Amino acid sequence: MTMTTIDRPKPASSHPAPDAQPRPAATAGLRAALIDRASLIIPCVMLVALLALYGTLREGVFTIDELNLDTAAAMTLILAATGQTIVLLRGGIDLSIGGMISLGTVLAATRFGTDPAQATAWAIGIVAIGGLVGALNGVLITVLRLQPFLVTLATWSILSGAAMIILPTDGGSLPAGWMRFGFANWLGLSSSVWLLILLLAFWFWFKRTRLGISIRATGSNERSALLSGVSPLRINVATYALSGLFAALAALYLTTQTGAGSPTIGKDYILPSVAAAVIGGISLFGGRGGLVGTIIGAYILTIIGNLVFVLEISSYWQPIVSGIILLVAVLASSIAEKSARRSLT
Amino acid sequence: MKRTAAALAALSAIVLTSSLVPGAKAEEKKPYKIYLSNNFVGNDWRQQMLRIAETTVKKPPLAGRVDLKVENVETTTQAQINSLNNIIRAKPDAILIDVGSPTALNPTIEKACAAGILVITFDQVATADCAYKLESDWNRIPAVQAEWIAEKIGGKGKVFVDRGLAGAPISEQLQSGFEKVLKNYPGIEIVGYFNGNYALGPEQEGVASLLAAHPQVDAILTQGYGSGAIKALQDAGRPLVPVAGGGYNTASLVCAQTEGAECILETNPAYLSAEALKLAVDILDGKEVKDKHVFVYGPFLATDPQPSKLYPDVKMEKIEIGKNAFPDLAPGLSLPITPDWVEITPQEAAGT
Repeated sequence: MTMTTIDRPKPASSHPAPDAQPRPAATAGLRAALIDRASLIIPCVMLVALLALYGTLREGVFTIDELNLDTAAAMTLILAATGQTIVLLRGGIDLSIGGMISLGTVLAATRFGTDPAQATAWAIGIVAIGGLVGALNGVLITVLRLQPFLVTLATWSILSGAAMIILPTDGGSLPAGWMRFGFANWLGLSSSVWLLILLLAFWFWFKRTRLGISIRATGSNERSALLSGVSPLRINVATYALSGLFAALAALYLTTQTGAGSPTIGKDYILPSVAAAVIGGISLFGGRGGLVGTIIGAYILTIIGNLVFVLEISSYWQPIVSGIILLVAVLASSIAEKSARRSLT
Repeated sequence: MKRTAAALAALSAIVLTSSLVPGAKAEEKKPYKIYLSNNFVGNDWRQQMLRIAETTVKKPPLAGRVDLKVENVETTTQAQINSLNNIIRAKPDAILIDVGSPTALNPTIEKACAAGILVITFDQVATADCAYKLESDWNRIPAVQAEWIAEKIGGKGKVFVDRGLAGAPISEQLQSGFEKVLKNYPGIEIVGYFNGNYALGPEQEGVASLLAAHPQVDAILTQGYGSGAIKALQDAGRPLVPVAGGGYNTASLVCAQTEGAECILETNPAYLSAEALKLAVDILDGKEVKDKHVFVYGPFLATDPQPSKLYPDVKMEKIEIGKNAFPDLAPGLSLPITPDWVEITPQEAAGT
């Protein structure tokens, strides 16, 4: 499986001077790689276990239809969590995606009109706004040397307010063709699944780009990355711009599902986007993990909802089970991290 | 032997019921599978609504007719969409939805309709064309209350008006509903506004600060309880004046037990869920329902019921201990308790 080779942080990252002593390269490398993969293996195991349980309780779980349905249910979260993943790899956090998603949906629901050209122009415009707002987050964090948590908390609030001004309550409308996006189908796979494939392709390309490598390196060890000539401004602007951009994409996808704008809907994705990433093995301290883990995390959160439904237990079990899974994931990745350190010393 | 006897008994039961109930067919014996999707349980009203739904399907006339499943979801739109998608796949006969957003569920609701499922949104209704919408008449409610108050003070005087909760569409609707009727009385002047936020504390504080600024007030129109306004008047040592409020046990108790209190309480019955269930069964039984927008008219509760000129058919009940004010039950109990076609006790509604 390709998954196992993804997202391996450099073992050197947690260890400033690995070359100072001769190391048994082959064995240490292998062990480190295995331990490093643990953060991805754990969510994989959890997903397989959940799917196995789900499959015994409901017919047709292992079909393309189920994949289409669950992907549509998870896609807004996946898109929002993609941006969050990039920020977490950098060692930051982005709360402003909540405001951006709300703003994106209300702009779409009030500005698209019925003309396809106008809708397309605004869709591009919304993505651009997302990128710009994110870039602004990056500038504020770098220039003012403020905590990402606080800066994005502020921009979240500002964006939410802007969304309220544009559309005070849920409403607006979207072109009928726009909403058909979710029903489109090609080779049996829904547009949502194709979007997911596109997203994975983006990720495998992106993580190997200079920017992708620099973001991860800065998240692993800011000082050594900066010493090696990475510009903090450039990295932060790019990181948060990407997060804003993906939040805008999440907003656009969400409107194909809801057919309306909502000035408050974005907040529902902030913490789940972090949860999906952490369940997927991403470290809140930066540098470790990748998008495949996050996507698995988002599916886990979605399938828990389905499971609770077919088990006919109270739906309040959903947040409880999600919380337990989150704890297990955090515990597992912390153990993995500790043994990784031990194996390197 | 036993089996034959049982079969005979069952057979005679079928013959008996089908001869007693005109038009009853054998296939109607199978209960309808109905889901209730609710997105919020954080207040007394919603919990009572759910209790009443569960109770209603166990009592005649709906007993045995409905296999009810309740799906409470977190307050997020995404959670309700995902839950509804799961419900649609379970192929029920009907889905009753108290929606979290008037518009964001529409594509999912359309999908349910396309799958041949009857969709009834109630309380908080959705705008989707294919869905039935069952709710209280929020135009009639403030009009009748304002009319009662205006007549009570002889068409002249100074009044306070509650703006509700900033930004909530219902608040704007209720406020303008009050104002539209008050305008018909040239002698009445609105001297102050406050935000009651549908909670007792803010209502009492809002009225208290207006009282400090206005030496004279002749009536208070709240969107919340009304009993908060009465407490504020008492605290300020001012004479009681007619108050418009909401049909909750705490308010009706204050109105019933306070010497000289004059109240008109609107009601948004928590039994909307029962009405939605009955509507679903009626439609599934083949009954024609012409208008997809169905209003439930809860009675007004007043210390002194008066006929309404604006809506001559309006129902108004006198506030009485034991009938619509219950000293031994929860203050958050929503009134009235039961529709007239089923018998739900105050204890069942309160969950005690």
